[in-house]
Amino acid sequence: MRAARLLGASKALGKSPQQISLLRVKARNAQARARLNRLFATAFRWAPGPLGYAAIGLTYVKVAHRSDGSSGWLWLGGSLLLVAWLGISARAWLRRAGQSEGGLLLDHFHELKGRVGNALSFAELPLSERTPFMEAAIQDAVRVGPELSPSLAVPWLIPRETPFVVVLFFGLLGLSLLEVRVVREAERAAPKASQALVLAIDDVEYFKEISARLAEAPHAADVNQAIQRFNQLVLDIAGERVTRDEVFRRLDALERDLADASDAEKAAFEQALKDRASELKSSQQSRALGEALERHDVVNAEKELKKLAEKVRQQKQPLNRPDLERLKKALEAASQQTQKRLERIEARRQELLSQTRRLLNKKKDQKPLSAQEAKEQKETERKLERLDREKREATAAGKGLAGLDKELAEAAQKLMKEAGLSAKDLEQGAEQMNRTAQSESSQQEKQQLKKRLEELRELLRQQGQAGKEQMKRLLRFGQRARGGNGAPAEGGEPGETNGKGPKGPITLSRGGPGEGIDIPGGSGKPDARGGQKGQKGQKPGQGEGSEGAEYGTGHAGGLRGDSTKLDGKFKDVSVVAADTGEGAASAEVIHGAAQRGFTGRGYSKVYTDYRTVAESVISKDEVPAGYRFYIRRYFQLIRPRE
Amino acid sequence: MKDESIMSENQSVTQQVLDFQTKVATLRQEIGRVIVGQKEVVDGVIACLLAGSHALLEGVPGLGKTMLVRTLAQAVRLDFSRIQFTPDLMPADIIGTTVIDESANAGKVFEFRKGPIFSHIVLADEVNRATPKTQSALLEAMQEHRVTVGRTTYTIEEPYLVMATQNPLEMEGTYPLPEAQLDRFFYKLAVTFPSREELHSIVDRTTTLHEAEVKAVLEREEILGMQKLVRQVAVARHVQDYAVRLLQATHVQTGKAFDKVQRFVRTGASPRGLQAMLLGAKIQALFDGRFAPGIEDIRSVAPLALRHRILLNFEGEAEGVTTDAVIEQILSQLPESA
Repeated sequence: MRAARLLGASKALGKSPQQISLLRVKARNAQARARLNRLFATAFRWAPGPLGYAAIGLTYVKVAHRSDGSSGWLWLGGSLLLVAWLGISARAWLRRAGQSEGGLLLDHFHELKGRVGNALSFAELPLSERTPFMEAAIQDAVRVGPELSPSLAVPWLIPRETPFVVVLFFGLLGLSLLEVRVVREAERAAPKASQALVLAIDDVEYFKEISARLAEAPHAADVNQAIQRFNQLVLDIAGERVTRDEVFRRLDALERDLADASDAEKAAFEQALKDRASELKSSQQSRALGEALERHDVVNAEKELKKLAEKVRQQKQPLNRPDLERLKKALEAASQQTQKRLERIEARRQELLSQTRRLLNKKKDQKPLSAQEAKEQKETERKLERLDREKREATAAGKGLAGLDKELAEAAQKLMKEAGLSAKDLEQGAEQMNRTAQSESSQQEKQQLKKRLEELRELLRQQGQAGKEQMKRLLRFGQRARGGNGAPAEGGEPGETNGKGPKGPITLSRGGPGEGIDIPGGSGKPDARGGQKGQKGQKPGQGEGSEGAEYGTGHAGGLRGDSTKLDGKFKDVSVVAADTGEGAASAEVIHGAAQRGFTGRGYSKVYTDYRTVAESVISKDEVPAGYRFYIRRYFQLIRPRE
Repeated sequence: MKDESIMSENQSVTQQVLDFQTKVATLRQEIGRVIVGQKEVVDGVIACLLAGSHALLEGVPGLGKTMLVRTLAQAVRLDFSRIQFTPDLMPADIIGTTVIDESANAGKVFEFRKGPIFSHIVLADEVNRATPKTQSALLEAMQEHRVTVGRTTYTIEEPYLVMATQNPLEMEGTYPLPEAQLDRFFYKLAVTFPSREELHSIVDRTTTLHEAEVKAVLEREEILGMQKLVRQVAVARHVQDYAVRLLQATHVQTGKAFDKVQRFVRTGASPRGLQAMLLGAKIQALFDGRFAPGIEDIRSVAPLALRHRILLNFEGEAEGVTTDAVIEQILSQLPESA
C-alpha cells in the first residue's frame, strides 16, 4: 500500500508545476482564513473596551447633557481607544505566522505530517538546489493536492466574545436612539414689548452701576432679594422688555416690600431704649451702656455690654457688694421697662375707659350730655385711641428688645450668686444687641435702596414729561460724554414760554470757538431763558448760538403773568486759576472735558471734588427735595465715563 | 530530458526509501521475536543504530534492557561486546591494555590488547555503577569512534553503537553520568513497564520450552548504506527553524523562556540535541515512508533527544520536576511557525 503510494507519487512528476500552484493557492487560502480568524478574534476580544467606553460616554453626555466643550475630553479618550483598538486589530491582521502557515494548517487537518508544508518550502528553492529527496517530497505532496480543503482545514471561528460584543453594540445603538427628556426652564424669550419703556443707555448704565455696587456688599437676605429684583428691573428696562406701567407697578411692589417700621414705631423703639438707658445709668458700672443706648447707638451698646460682662466675670478685681447691688437694681429695672410702660398705659387706659363708661351710662339713661361732657367724651375717645396705639407700639418695641430684657433679668438674678453665669447672660444680651444692630443696619440698607428707587421713579417721571426728543438729546449727550462724535449741539426745540415744556439743554462751555456738550434736561424749572436753544460757545464765559426763529418772539396761549425779563445785566468775568504745578487747573480740565468727553483721571478728580461739595450742601442746607433730584441728576449726567 | 532525469532520480529515491522501510520492518520483526512490546524503545534503538550514534536506556531492573541490546546485536551481523560496569572497573578494562607478548622469534614485545570497547555494538550495562574515571573512558570512543592509548590512536570500525543501561532507582554506590557523557548519547530511552498483554506474552515466551531464535537480517554494509540514506533526507527550512527554536526554548538565557524552563532549568540542551532531533526526525520520516520530516517528527523525537541534555536546577530537583515535563510544556506552547 505504502509502496504503491510512493510509486504513484513518482509518476505524478509531469504535472508538478500546475499541481504545486494548486498547493500554493490552497495554502494561501488557508492562511488568509487563519488571518481573518485572528483578526476577528482580536477585534472581538478588545471590542468591549471601546464599546463600553462609548456606552458610558454616551450615557454621560445624554444624562448630564454635556454637549458643550467639556465633552471634548470624552471624545479624545474615545478616539484614542478607537485608534488603539484599530491598531491592535490591524496588528493581528498583519502578523504573519510564517509563510508556511497555510501549508501547516492543511497538513494538520489532513494529517499529512508536514508533506504540504515541506513541499511548498522545497518548491521555493531553485530547481538546481533541489535534491532528489526534495523532488520526491514535492511529488508526494502534489499527489494529495486536489484533496486538500482550506475551508475544512480552517473553518470560520466565531469568537467567544461575540454575544457580549453584539449585546454591547446593540445596547449602544439603543442608547444612541434613547432620548432623555429633561425639564428645562425655557429661557424667557424676552421679546421687546411693543410699548416698552426706553431709557437712555447712559441712565441704564448708571443704574446698572448702582445695582452692581449694591450687590457687591453683603446684605440681609430680604435686602438681597430686593436688590436682585431691582437689578432685574434695570436689566428689563435696558432690554426694553417692560412697559412703563409695568415698571411703575414693580417699583411700587418693591417699595412696599421695603417699607420699614413707621416713624411712630421707630420713636417707640427709641423711647424704649431711652427708658432702659435711664435705669442703667443709675449704676456706675452700667453707665456707659446706658449712655450708648440713650444715643441709640446699639453698636456701642453691644460693646459696652461685653465690657460689663468682663467686669462682672473678672476675678482679680471683683466688683464690691454695693456696686453689685446697684448694678443688679439697674439691670432689673431696665429689664422691666416694657412691663412698666405697658402697666402705665394700661392704668391710664382703664381710667379713661371708666370715664367713657360713665358718660355712656349717662347717655343710656336718656340724660343728654352737656356740651362740656360731649367734648370730654370725644377727648376721651381720642385719648383712648392714642393709648391703644401707644400700647401697640410699646408692645412692638418690647418684642424687639424682649431678648435683651430676658438676658438682663437673668443676669441681675444671678449677679449676686454666680458672677460667671451672670456674665454669660450679659454676653448673650450683647448678642441680642448685635441682632438689633443688624436689624438697624438692614433698615439703613433698605433706606438706601429706597432712595435709588425714588431716583429711578423720578427719572422715569421726568422722562415721561420730556418726550422722545429729550431721549434723542440724551443719546447724543451720552455719545459725546464718552468722547464720541455726537451730533453738534444744535440746541433743543423751542420751549414753551410758560416754561412747562421740555427744558432746553445746558451747555458746558468756555470761551473760544468750539462745541459744548449739552446737558439735556439740565433745568426743569422755568427759566428766564426757557426754551432757548443750546448755544455754541463763542466768547469766554458765554455762548451764543444760532437761534431759531421763534425764540423770544412769541408766547404760548396759556401764559400767565409777565414775561421773563431778558435784560439781565451781565458782566464778563475772567478767572485765572493759580498754577500749582500739579496739572491742569479745574477750569482747563472742565473745558477739556467739554471738548473730549467726560473721561480721564483729571476729570474724575475734579468731578469728585465738585460732587462732594454738592452732596455736602444738599445734606446741610435746606434744599427742597425736588431740587435735590435735579442737582443729583446733573452730577449723574456729567459723571466720568470709562 | 531533464524531466526524465528527475523522474529517474525520483524513482531511485523512492526505491531506496522503500528498501529502507523494508529492512527496518524486517529488523523490527526479528527483534520482536524476543522483545515483547517496547515499540518506542526498539525504534529508538534502531534509530540510534541508523543515526550512527548511541543510546542510553533507563529503566528499572528486569525490563529487558540488556536483552533488547543483545537481540539487536544478534539481528544485525555486527560485533557485540558487553561490559558490566562496576565500581572497581578500570578504564583499561574497557579500552584494553598493553601486555608483554613473549613470542618465540622476537622475544618480548609490548602488544596492545583491544578491550571490549572495540566492537560494533557495545553494551555498557549499568553504566552508572562505574566511577567517573571509568565512565570517561568512553568519551572519546563515543564521540570520535576512536581510542587513544598512549601515543597510539585506534579507530573503531563503523558502525559503532554504545548502548548503555542504567537503573534510576538505586542511588547508593552509583555515579551519575557526567553531563559531557550524557550529551554524547543520541537518545535517552525510557524502558517502561510492560502492559498486561505484553506480560502475558513475556511469560509465554520465557516459561516454556519455546526458545526464540534471532537471525541476522542486516549486514554491516547495509547498515552503513541506511545511515547514508538518512543523511540524504532533506529538511525544510521551517521544520529546521522549529527545531532550532525548540532547542533555544530549553535555555533560560534566551529571554523567552517558558515558565518551567525559567523556574527549573539550569542548563538547556546543547547543539548535539538539535542534531539529534533533526536526524531522529529524518529517520522517523523514513520509517513512515516520507521523503522529508515534518514538525510532528521533530515533536515526536524531541523528548528522546533532549530529556538527558536538559539539566535541572536545585529547585527543579527538589520539586521532583522531570525534564520530560519541561519539554512537554515547551512543545505545547511553542508556535509551529514564527
